[in-house]
Amino acid sequence: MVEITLENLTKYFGSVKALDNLNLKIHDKELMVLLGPSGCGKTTTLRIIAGLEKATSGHLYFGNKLMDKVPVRERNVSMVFQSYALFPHMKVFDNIAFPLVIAKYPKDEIKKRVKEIAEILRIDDLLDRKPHQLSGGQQQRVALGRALIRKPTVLLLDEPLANLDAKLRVEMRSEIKRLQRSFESTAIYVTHDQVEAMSIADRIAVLKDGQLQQVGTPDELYHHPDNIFVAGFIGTPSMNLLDCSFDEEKGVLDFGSFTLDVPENIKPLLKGYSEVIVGIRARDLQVSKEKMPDSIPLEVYTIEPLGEETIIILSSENVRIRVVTHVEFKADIGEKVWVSFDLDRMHIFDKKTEKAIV
Amino acid sequence: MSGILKKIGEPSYTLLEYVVLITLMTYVLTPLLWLLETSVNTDPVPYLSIPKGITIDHFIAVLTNRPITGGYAAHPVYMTRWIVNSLIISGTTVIIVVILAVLASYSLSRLRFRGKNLLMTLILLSGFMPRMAMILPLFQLCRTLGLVDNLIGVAIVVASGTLPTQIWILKGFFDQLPRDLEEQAWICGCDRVSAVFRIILPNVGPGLAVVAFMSFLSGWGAFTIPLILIRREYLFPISLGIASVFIHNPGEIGLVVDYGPTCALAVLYAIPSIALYILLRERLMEIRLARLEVR
Ligand SMILES: Nc1ncnc2c1ncn2[C@@H]1O[C@H](COP(=O)(O)OP(=O)(O)O)[C@@H](O)[C@H]1O
Ligand SMILES: [Mg+2]
Repeated sequence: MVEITLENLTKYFGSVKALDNLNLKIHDKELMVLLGPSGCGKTTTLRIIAGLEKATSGHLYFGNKLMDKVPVRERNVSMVFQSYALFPHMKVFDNIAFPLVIAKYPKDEIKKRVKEIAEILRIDDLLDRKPHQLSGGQQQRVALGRALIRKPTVLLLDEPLANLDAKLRVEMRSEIKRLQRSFESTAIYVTHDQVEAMSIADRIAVLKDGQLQQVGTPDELYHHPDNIFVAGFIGTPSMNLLDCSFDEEKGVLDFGSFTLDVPENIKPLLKGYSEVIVGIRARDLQVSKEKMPDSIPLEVYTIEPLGEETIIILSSENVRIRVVTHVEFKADIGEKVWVSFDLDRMHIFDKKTEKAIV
Repeated sequence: MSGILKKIGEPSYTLLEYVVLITLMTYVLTPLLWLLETSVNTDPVPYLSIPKGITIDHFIAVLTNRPITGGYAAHPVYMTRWIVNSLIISGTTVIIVVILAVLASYSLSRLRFRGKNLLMTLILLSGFMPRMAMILPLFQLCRTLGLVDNLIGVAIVVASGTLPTQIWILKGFFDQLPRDLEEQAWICGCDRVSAVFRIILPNVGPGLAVVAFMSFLSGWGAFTIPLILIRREYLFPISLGIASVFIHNPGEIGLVVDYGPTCALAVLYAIPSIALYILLRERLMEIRLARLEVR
């Protein structure tokens, strides 16, 4: 129920730079996902927002209010830790009720609200148990219940599903999204799993080494990655990233063992660049056993059938390319096949800056 | 048949184990049995004997301060008072140690400050130091503060002796408790103090129990410190009292020591340690099991 602004946040742990000049706005009632590999500073960001950690420099605002010096307990922020951090000596009921007990709500009110939330989370039959008598999924729900019960202005979730098995993970992530919508909290959800991020996020902020790489809707990140890191991180299977050089005279991209003609509309954009990286998604490639116009011959390296689809890895001397085909396409390892590129869906990055050109 | 032969042929380790065990038990338990026997014997004598009859009169005598008439032994008149004195010393020691150990070990476990390692080393070292090495300054200090012939004074000195060890023990328990729990408490709206009381202390129950137990015992068993700080017989703790029974009656001790009540007092003296141990052991086991299940 508030807009969160991170302004030039930098955080050092000793000499380790955990966050590097992070600027990010999280809109009111939005579910923002912080996505990035382990150690990129996601937890640190959450802890700064919760007030558990002080930024080395920079500012944090809730709405227009500067929060830097506001103590943790006065922020009305709820946080679900990766470990859940349920209080082991308290029953489930007391765990969920805890924030209201501390806020000195009347007993009847507490009972009513705990019952309500326990029903929503389908844990109303577990209220008399101690945390150690619950399964991982149940513990997770209790932690969520405790986080939601006081209708927090900000809801922080640190890899809330990381400790659950795959099936439960898929189930819970849609549930979390639904809950966040109905409680109208501004939520920040941390994960290193890009599929999870894509499926739950209103917007995603991609972090790497404490630096913000790109912010956008899942769609934007998928179709218009700003740089090589985002391009490679988002999407399954990950995008093919191929080293090549741009030959301005001939107007071709030279991959060593083959060349591709650059479409006329892109040529001017590439002016001045020589070493570039071409990114193309495995689904934007067509593979066939016969020669097609503008196709190049490659050898089948491995085949990974995935049920509906098959991932084929193709190779020539110095390139490996992943292609997704229909399962009916059969080929043998070592066989020669023809691949055509959908050049309109191609991404081109500057090799030096790793930034997107096209 | 062949089974028995086989057993004789191979020396059984279990038999050896039993021999060792029984020897040890005889060694440990004989004095205890002796003590128990004398304390309930209608005709207590200073050697192990089959009681002619069983009585609890000696215990009643000790607890009500009423001498058993008809004996020719001198009955110490302060026995009941000694029990109370020991309880006061031990109880006060527990209170002092638990409060100070909680404060100190929480700070050492959770706060970051300059010179922390040095401070911890000093605490550890002072715990190793024998109390008697410092008895002169301690005595002078107590005299200046009016703590001679004062039970609270004894408790303070005893507590100062055991405190360093207890701080280290409790710090270990605090260190093991995940910080997450405390941080979650803050997020839920607790300040530091209420987080300690509502979340941390309930989860270091076993640690508190150990500290309380050990400091109770150090007060209950204290001998040398009361010996130096307590002059008046009615302020003796049990330890000094029992000793004084022998010291006051030199010579043929068998004729003058009132063995029945003295042994009854000694039995009573032993009970709290054993009871506390049994109580605590169950609590420790229970909590450790629960902990294991959580993760
Ligand atoms: N308390 C700490 N002390 C020292 N270094 C830390 C601490 N917390 C995090 N770091 C470092 O900061 C970086 C970011 O950590 P973190 O925010 O936990 O990453 P993530 O949650 O994205 O995996 C890592 O290099 C980590 O080692
Ligand atoms: Mg993390």
